[in-house]
Amino acid sequence: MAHSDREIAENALSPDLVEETWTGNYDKVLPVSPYTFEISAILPAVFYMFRWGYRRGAGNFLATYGPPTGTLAKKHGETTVNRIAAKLAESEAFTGFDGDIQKAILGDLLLCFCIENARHGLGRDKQVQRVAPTHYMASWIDLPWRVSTLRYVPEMIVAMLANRRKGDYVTRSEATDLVRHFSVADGYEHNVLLRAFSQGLTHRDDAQGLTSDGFDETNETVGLDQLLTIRLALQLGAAPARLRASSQGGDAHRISNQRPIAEEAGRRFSVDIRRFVRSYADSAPRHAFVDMLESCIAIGLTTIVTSNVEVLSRWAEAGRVPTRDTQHPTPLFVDCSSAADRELRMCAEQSADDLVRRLERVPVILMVLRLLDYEARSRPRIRQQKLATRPYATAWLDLLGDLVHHRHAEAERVALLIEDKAEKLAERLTGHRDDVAEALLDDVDQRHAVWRLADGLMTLKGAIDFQKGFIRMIDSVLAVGRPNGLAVKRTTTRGSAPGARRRRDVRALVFTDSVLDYLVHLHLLPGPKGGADASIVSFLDFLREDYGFHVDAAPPGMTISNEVLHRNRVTLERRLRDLGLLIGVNDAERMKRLTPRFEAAGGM
Amino acid sequence: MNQRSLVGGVTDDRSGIETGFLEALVDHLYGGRRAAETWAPCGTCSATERCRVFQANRLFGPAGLPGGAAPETRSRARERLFEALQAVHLRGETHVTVRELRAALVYILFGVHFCDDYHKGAVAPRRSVPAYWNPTFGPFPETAEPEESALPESYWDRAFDPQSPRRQGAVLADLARFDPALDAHPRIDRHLAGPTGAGTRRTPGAGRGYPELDLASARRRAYFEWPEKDIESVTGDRHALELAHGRHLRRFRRLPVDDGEREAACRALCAGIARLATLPPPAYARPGVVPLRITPRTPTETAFWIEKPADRFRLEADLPAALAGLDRLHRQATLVYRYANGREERLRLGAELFHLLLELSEGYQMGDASTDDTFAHLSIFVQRLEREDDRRLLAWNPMCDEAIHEIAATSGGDGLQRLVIRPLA
Repeated sequence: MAHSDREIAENALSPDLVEETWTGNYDKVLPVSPYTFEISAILPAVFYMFRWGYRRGAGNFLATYGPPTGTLAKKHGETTVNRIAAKLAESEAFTGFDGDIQKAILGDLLLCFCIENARHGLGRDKQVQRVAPTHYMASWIDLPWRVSTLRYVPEMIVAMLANRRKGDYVTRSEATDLVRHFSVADGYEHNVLLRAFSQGLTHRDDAQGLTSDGFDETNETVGLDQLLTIRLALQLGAAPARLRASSQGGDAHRISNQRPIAEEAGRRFSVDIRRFVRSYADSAPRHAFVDMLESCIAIGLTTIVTSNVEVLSRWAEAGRVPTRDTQHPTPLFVDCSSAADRELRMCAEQSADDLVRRLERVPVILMVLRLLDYEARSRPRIRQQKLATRPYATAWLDLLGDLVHHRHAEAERVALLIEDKAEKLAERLTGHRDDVAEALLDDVDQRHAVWRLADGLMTLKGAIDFQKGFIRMIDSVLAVGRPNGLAVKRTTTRGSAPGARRRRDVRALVFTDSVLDYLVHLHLLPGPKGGADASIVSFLDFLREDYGFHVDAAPPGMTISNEVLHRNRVTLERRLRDLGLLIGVNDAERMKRLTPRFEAAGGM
Repeated sequence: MNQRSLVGGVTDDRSGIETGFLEALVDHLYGGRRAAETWAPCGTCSATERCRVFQANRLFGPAGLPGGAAPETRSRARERLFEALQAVHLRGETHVTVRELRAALVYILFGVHFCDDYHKGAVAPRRSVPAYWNPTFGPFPETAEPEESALPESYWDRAFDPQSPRRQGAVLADLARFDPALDAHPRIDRHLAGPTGAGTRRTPGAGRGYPELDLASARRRAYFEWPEKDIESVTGDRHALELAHGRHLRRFRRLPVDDGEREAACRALCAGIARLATLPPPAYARPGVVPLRITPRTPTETAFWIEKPADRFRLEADLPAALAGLDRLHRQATLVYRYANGREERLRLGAELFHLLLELSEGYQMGDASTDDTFAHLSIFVQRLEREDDRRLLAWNPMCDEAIHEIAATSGGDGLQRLVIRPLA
């Protein structure tokens, strides 16, 4: 009888081990699932978690706006803007929306400000998928249906911003907390992000009840877009309940306090978003502010992911997590012409290709870590060490590195156990997958069995699929092709012979207007040591050193002519000038000054 | 000092723009009071027919130089040269320093060749090898380079041609952006390229054509040499032959000195902003308001926009503070919107954005991706205006294409805020 690759692995190793390793995740390194997600859907979920202190479960959206009968899938598919508009028009808070034209206008108003269709589809008859973060009350709307489709990104953001120094889960803020920029389950006043989106909001007596949020009907400061979101939410009657997922155990609703291993990138993201929101939430127009905030998230996540890639690469070499001050994001060349200049675009594509190539190795490194993690936890002497893995698993990863590099007393034992497993798997695969079996036993190229076993398991699992998963995640964090994203993508064909032609996607980092706006405004905020340096040179240094974005210098390992680099910089200066963010003329560097469009409220 | 203008300045009484410094500088480059003496040998020189320096002297040199053109022709040529240099200043990206200005003028007026080069025939050919050169038989007869190309570039090409030899400096780089050859006009171009022989029908009063030049060079030359009346004879519009993307530079330049022009430009700018994103015709038909389209997250069939009273907008030229002895000329203008509470919102406009908005107001459509950044700046200004009253907007749906609907948030007596829609008369 033929067995699947997974069954063979389970028989050769153990069902427990395969269950734990047959995945793309390893949350001690990066607590998100490496698959696609929508960055524009992140903020409402973040609002919810900050407000209530746990993960969002099912709410009343489908019951309120969906069709009354049918399967769950049918109900999801038929919940459209038309249906929502018809329901809202019946409400006493809407006057005059009785006719077809008025309902059509109301539907378009929802699409204009509040709701997005699945796959960014057009029209009022498509399935709705996301809610826009126009107001805090968007968090009452349980879109997307399952919060897990956001791949644990909101959870990671909340954990980083809340910055609990101890504990496995993000807990409710206490009044005694010294720093409360991003308080959790503690109203809006002590949370920078919630406060920026909570116009007209009121508390009822029971601040922790799901119906305790209300709207002050006398408040006339909310705009039409916000009022529409508020009405859309209030129709639901209550905020969604906390997540109840039996498959994930009793703690499914709790927000993990696991942080990415790239500690420095996480800290920077936390500082950046806090300074930006506090400074510009009141002065920037709401649409521009939300766009820039999403750009902020895209840049923060990109830096975290690329820093993680660098950390993992260095761990794979030395078995040690680099210290915080030596962690850097991957250097990337940015095409400031937004792909209008062919030469600049090619350089940016080459740079992004280098990143993609580095990413291809990441699934195998994560598999090595999962295998070592499983074995290490089974060793009593290691368990006795009681190493904390949350919020940061640095010490744990160092220990796993010591096991691979034979710096630990249990290293030989663990190596033998894994060697044994590799041999058993090879034996089972002989005659079925001879190529994998041979690789598992080849101790010339890979001396430590854990690398051979990891490679073998990845091959059985379908390494390409997992690499694609990581690349999709990179596309998501870069918000590829979005108006406030960080990269563009195009499909190219390689090979001259008709049969040998291969299509592939190539990406290039670009600065969209929103990204430039955000970066300049962030750079111009005064730091703890005083006012910011508004020179263009200092801005370029800021981009390079803090985010790895190279504009007028080639990233290490790349050769780019000075002429091309100069052109890139001139293009950036022209765009900044067009955006009203740079004042100055050509003949003196000192006369070129960056200037903010929005007045900052309070700096740090 | 960085605010001063070397290419012209607004007069103290704001009645016009004077170019005394430029006039004096050009005269000085020709030798000042000793100009006639310096250039006297040119009167008997055997190379004047092919000398590009002599060609420029006729038009730009001071009175009294050998072979000088008529005073009105010289005056026109200098005026056009100064307009081009002012365009560089008005564009706002290049600081025109004395050194840059001198270098640019010397290059344009005198080129890079000495008298000996012309006499010894050592001048560089304009193009080395034509693209259709046949290595065995040389250039094909019908495509061989004309005699003209064996000579250095003329002043009109040195002024604007980005490929002219040994061109350098920010001012010359910027001048290439304004190259009149980048624009086209069917009547002017036909006239410039057409035959000039006996029996050819020509427009009465039109300037001379230059069939011996390629069209790009001919347009550049005509820019300097055609008087306004000749341009008007050919096209009916005396401003039909201007710098590229400079159709509105004259208006921009005159903002500080002409109140009527400023008000008209303000109205046109508002119309341009309104046409930045397409709105249905009824939106433009409402008098006294500037409609500003709301950009939706997802494109919708219904168009949404807000309206702002047109009389709350005004235009100002950003003229530096007056300092004795320093010429001043603006680089930017500011479109100011006065909120109902008296606060003001300001949009800085460079010459480029000014030009684009006026083009839009006249019905042109932008198909150029490079203008996105320029308009991104503008979209933030519009978003700020939207915030003034973001509880009311107007909507138009194609299912009822004659009606405009108003949607507003209103507070009723029952303590409930309502979203109300009603058709507008």
